Amino acid sequence: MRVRSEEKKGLGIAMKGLRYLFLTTIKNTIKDLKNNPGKLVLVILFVALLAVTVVSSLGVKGLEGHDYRPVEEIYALVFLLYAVTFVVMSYKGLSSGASFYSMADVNLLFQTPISPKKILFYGLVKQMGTSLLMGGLLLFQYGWVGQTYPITMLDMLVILLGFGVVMFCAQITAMAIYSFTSGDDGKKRTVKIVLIGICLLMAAYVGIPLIADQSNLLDRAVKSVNSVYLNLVPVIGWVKQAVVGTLTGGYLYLVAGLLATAAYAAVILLLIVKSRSNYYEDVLQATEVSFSAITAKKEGKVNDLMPKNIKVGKTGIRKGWGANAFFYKHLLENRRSRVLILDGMSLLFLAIVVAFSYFMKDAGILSVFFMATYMQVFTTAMGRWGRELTLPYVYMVPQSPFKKLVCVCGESVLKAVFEAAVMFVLVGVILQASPVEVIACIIARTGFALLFIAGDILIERMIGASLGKVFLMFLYFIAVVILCLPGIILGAMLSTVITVLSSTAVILLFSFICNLAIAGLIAFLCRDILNYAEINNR
Amino acid sequence: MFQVMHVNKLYGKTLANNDITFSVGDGQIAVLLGPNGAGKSTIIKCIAGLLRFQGEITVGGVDNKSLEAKRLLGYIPEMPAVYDLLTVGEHLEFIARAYELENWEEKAQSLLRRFELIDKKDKLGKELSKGMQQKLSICCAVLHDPKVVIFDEPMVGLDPHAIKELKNLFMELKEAGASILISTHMLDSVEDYWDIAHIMINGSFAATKLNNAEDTHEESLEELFFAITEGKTPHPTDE
Repeated sequence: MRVRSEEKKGLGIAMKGLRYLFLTTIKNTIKDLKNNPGKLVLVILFVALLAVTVVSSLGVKGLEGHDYRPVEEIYALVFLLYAVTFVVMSYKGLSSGASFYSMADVNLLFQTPISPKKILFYGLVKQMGTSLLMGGLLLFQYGWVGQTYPITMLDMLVILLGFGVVMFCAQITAMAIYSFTSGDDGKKRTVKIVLIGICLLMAAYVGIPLIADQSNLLDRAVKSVNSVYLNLVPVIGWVKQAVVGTLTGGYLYLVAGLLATAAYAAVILLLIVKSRSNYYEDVLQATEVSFSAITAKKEGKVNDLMPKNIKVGKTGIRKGWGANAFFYKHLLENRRSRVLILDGMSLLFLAIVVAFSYFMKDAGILSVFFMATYMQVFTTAMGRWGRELTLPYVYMVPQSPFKKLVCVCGESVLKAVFEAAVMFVLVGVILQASPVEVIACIIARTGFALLFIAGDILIERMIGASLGKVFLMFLYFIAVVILCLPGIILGAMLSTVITVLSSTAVILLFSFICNLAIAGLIAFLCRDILNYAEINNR
Repeated sequence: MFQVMHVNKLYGKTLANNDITFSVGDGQIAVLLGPNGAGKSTIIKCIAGLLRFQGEITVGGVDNKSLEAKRLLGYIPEMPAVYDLLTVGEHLEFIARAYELENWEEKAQSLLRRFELIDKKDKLGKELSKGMQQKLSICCAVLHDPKVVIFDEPMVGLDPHAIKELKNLFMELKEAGASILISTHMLDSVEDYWDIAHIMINGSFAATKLNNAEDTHEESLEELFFAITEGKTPHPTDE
């Protein structure tokens, strides 16, 4: 009896400890904002923008006479979003696992006499919060989604909730995959084959009928994605079905989807806790890997995250003298991280843009261009130059700061030009656009790339090391939107005056000239940035 | 030589360096001592030109952010500065190219040999242990024959052989007329070769001591350090 009551007492203390840790972390994060006014302003701006987006659009539905696209398309998009999230995150379980814990959790919490199950529960609650926060960025997409499809902000919130559930299930799936396959190549291969097999089956189910008959491509693809078979795919189909059920009032689907997903999560969690007496070991390595990934992301060295086994290949930088040694070093680093000019993210975006132009042939090359530019904002901010600012060499090498600036950005420019050429030659072929329009698109995209790089430099110059990468990204996003406007406005105005070229070509070419001028001006104003910037590794 | 004059550095509201003034002459080894958070790394980063500050720092008589000063400077950071995707050999090639050095290969070989990195020449930065990364960082910093060399906790993570070689390197640089500044916690590791020691507390210099081997009555550097940092005796500047 006495032992039991002491056990109970111990349990109470354990829960208190975890609750204390959880709440204090939140409290201190908020308190820390006081010491960091720049961050505070951005948080307020972020929350205000989100609130304005949510409040101004709550309950607004189906404007009379507005020509919306079929709502089924958004259901198919939701399926795609959930599928990519779930598959990509679960796949991580094969190499590194996924972890809800920080290094501090692993080093301090795992040593305590708190039951591993309680610690697992703490990790899950924390993870749920992170998943929803990440999904919160989805709400900003309401601008174009609400314009294109007849759905309200409340519907968007439901989609977001579903996204959180999918992320959560993917995370525990990754953890389970990791704990069952770690150290066993045979099992790893099997899981890999199963995961890839499911993806291929889904792709074949949607794709093969489209190849056979090429009429009404988009409608038929949407129909296939929304078919009953794909709705039965675990987690992805179930959660999507629950979301669609909520949006359409089909509550039976909602209940069925939720029950199936809950059962799935319960089984996976049970497997993790029961089958392995000690999940700490699995989590430990996973945490270390994701910790280094998080650190890398914070430092902006996204491309340095690479497969464990890198082929060194030919050694030697071989080219470059003075400041441009940085440029040739970047090319070598790209080769090592298996980036053949375009990295994985660029290739993914390239595929999305090409697919978009294929399915939306009627929209015209200008719509494709603007959609591609929207995505470009994210890929340009990931160049190697951000990583360079975290090491002392770029500041210490005795070369003119402007030359160094140009050379460390060179790799990003080269990538942008190549990406633009590949993308718009493909899009041009699909849309049967004129060569002048294709060239105008390539030139204009290069102009936007220069502008975005300049925006990145400007933010770094103004804000520098005092903010986290996420907030820098957010500020950068706002800055590039403002910087883009003059070019677009000038292009649009002149397109009504100049009739020698097509209006598309005029808009694109003049936006290029304007962007080039703005980028040049920013580069000139920030020419000494490497003399005055502070090393960004605090 | 280099000179630091009335340097202040603020991080937000925290004063990390408060009116720091000192200089290190040619062929002189200065050590910076102090507890964690005393501001040693901050002043070192200011000298290296990696942080903004108020005041003046000159290297070889010119502003520390000028190209002439950068040519004279070598800096070994506390956390090894290594590129994940370059091999050991390529790090030195990169430095040689960026600093526009001619005939650097022989010196690079000899540095790699003495720090036992020659057999790791084709290993990537990310594959090296922390100690090896630190050794590589040292090789990179001295390849261009700097006349002012600043070491921030250089011994941390090094094996005994590397520590011995590093101490030899200090002496060689000193004999070649370089000005050397070393920040360290390891008092016993600097006991035998320093010329001047500055003890920092809360961003300021609490004491400065010259190495006077003939005076046996003077308290040792270690005694002085603990007297100041543990607050046992208020100690005036001993210069």
